[in-house]
Amino acid sequence: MDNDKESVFLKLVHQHKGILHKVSKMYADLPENREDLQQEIIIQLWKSFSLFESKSEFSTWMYRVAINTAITYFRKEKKRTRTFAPELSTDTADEIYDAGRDEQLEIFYQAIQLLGPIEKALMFYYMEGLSHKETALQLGISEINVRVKLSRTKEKLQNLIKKQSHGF
Amino acid sequence: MDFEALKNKWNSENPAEVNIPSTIARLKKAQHPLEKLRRTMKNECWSQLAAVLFAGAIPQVFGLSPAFYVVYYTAYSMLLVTSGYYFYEFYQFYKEVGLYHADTHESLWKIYYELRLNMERYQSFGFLLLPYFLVATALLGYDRLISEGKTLQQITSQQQVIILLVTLFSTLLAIGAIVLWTRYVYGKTAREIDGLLKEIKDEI
Repeated sequence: MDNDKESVFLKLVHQHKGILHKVSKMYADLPENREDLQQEIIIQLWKSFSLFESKSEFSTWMYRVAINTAITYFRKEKKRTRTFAPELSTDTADEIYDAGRDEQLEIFYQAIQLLGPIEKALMFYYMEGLSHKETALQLGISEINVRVKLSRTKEKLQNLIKKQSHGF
Repeated sequence: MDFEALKNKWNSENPAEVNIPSTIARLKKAQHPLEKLRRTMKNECWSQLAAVLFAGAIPQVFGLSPAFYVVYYTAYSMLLVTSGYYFYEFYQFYKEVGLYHADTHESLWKIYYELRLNMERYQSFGFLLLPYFLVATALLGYDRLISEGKTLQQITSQQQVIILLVTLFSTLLAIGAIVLWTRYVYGKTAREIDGLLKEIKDEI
């Protein structure tokens, strides 16, 4: 019975592993820290899995647990040399080379590291295509608050990118 | 940077670097701050339990006169009852801390509230133990006095002042240690969650 539950759980997590990838990339700068955070998220998902009600989407529930785990994961990590030009980054030798990796997306991820945990959550939900209403439900704040905070966060992110790179 | 245009790239990103284990048992030990806190609580609970059980054997270990057993074990039974209540409450906190399925604000608020409540519980439990230790120490001291053929009337004024000062100083020391230990174990996490709550509820 438990084995069935475990295999269903792991299958669902596997289907939605993109969430793990994106959340960890937003909240952890280095590959080893990302891997640790992914593990922490899986542990928390498993712990709460019995409370998952199948009337809601697994992905919606997974967003919550993943974001809540990531924002309370206060571990101080070693920061990589802060440059937004990926080809100049000095701490990427241990990362798997991926020719298809998009330069703009890398710049975006690196700029994201300079945001606060709640700002990262807002940007994550925005990039995932959630409406203001859905984001408000996930974060437990008002829709107006989401709209204003998100607008401020996007502006902040634009300024960070402009300030530290050539802008796009 | 056009974030709307970036969404397509975001959606088509390959999550190659994610490793999903084949079984839950293959996951590493959790290092999340709240999981570490749970582990500390679990270890502490065992040592507290051992200390409470050891307190039951103090009369035999220190050779307290059987005439004082009734007084000692009355105080000890009160210690057992209050400890039972606190252990139960600590267990409830231990079980529930770190469940993140509610919305972010609610989860953070719940963790913060439970953490602060547990800090207060921990401190009040520690403070409640002080009168028990006072009774135990007084009984052992009085028993020794009698065995030396002395009475309370024979304690000089200077000795009385010393006893009072030592009691006062050790009580203050114990209170300080309990407060500092609680802040050391829970304080950092509570402050960090408080910061997140302020950030999330920073209304317009």
